[in-house]
Amino acid sequence: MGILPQLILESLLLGTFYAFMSLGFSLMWGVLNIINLAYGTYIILGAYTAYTLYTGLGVDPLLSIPFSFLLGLSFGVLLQRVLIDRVMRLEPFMVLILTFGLDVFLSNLLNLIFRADIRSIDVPYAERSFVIGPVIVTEVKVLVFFLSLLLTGAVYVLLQKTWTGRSIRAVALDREGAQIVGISPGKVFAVTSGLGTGIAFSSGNLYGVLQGFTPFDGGMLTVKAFLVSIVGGLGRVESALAGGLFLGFLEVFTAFYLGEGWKFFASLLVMFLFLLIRPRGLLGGKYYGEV
Amino acid sequence: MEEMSLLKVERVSKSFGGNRVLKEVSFTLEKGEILGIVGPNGSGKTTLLNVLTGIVRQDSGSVLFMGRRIDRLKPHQRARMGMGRTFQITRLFSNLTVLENVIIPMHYGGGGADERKAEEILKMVGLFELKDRKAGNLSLAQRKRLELARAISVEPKVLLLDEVFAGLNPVSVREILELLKKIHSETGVAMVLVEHVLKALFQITKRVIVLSEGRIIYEGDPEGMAKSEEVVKAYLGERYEAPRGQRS
Repeated sequence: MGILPQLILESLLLGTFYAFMSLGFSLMWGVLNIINLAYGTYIILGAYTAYTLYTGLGVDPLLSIPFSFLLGLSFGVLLQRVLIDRVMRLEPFMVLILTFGLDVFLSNLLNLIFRADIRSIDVPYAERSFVIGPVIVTEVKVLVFFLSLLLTGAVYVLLQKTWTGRSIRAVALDREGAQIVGISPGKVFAVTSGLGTGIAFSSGNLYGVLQGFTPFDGGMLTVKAFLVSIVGGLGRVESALAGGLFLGFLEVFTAFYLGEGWKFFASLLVMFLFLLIRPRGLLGGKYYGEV
Repeated sequence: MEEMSLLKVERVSKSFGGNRVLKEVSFTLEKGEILGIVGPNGSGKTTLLNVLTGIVRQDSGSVLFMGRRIDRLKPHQRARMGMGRTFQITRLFSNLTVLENVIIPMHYGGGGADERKAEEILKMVGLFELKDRKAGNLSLAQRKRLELARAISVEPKVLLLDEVFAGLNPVSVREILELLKKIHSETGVAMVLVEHVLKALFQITKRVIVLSEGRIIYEGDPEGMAKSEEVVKAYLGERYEAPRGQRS
């Protein structure tokens, strides 16, 4: 047995967080058909929001998740209406440039306000851990795991059981078909962008308690969300879960057996392989673009 | 006062690049009427439907629906006014269930989602037993039925049907034809059928319009169509007779 149960547990915990973290990216990609290069920095914005509330007002970062979500939601809707909508209908390439610019702008704005030092949210329970048989796990990781699972479940219910969710899925499947049955795509775009950005912001709270962060960590997180979406497939909660868990296992195992430095390289390598061999992702979902 | 037409298309033109796809097309559709639109491939039939539903905006001319100009309305707004449509290649929400496909337009059409009514409609088109299946798993004939169910679920004033018979075997053609007749007699909805399968079309419509290269070249009853010189020319090309004495 040895170290294996420990590694598997770590992978599961981390993977579930990655699934939730990437859900917004995957949704925006699947529904709006845009790749949002600023997504990782949205997560970092959430982390700084949690940090500010914690250091300024003493609000626990896990309790300020709803606030981060609402902040992200409004930010996402506004951004969609004011900026992305205008550019989206042109070439897809334009959205890449726009969100790349947005990423540079937002991370530098954070740098102006908070400086480039690594910040961390040191909650009092950060040091506590559980020992279950052969494995040891920190309380924070367990909390993040359950919250990720809960929030991912909430998004699933929203998509499956509500009219908002149905209209989002309908637009993802067939934009024109959705219009023909009376759904306004403009509204669905705004809602999806808001939901996706809200997910990014609230996952920032979780990210902030898991590890330290700087204003420029967004790019790496965007790549992770990208990988989860490629590996899992687009726009579905199940796909994000599959992709997230895959990334969790990949990172934990390469870090342990090959060294921390190989982690990112391995992820990128796997992403290339998936794009070459199985571009639809693990679940092979026919989700968008196919009728 | 003269009663207004349900749909009035006036001098509609549309170009894609330098290619004039519709040239000053005008016609009217009365309440409850069934109109056939036929023409060779590339004659502008689907573009005309796209202009009516608002997916494509015309360059000039106007479209009146229930006496109101709808040129500036978006597709979803026209749908809510009572325009139903099916597509040449069915465009259902393949990952959603059959029932969801019918309920979604009901919700967004403003009538409210009524599961019982949706099930009634599915019974009418013969898909009730399959209501919990994913729409993507249906056969072509079933998908066509589901598209019809989806379109009539909001009690539209007009149904625009883009090649409903295309790709179906003779049995399915007859079944869809019967279904259309049933829908028409039960709801009185007006229909515009863009069609290649003339035999089926002529069994349901009394008036046809023939488009050729974006222009209306014939308007009238189906019997007269085959006699029209211009229609024959559009379909078969110029009459050609080999000069006497040179036959081999």
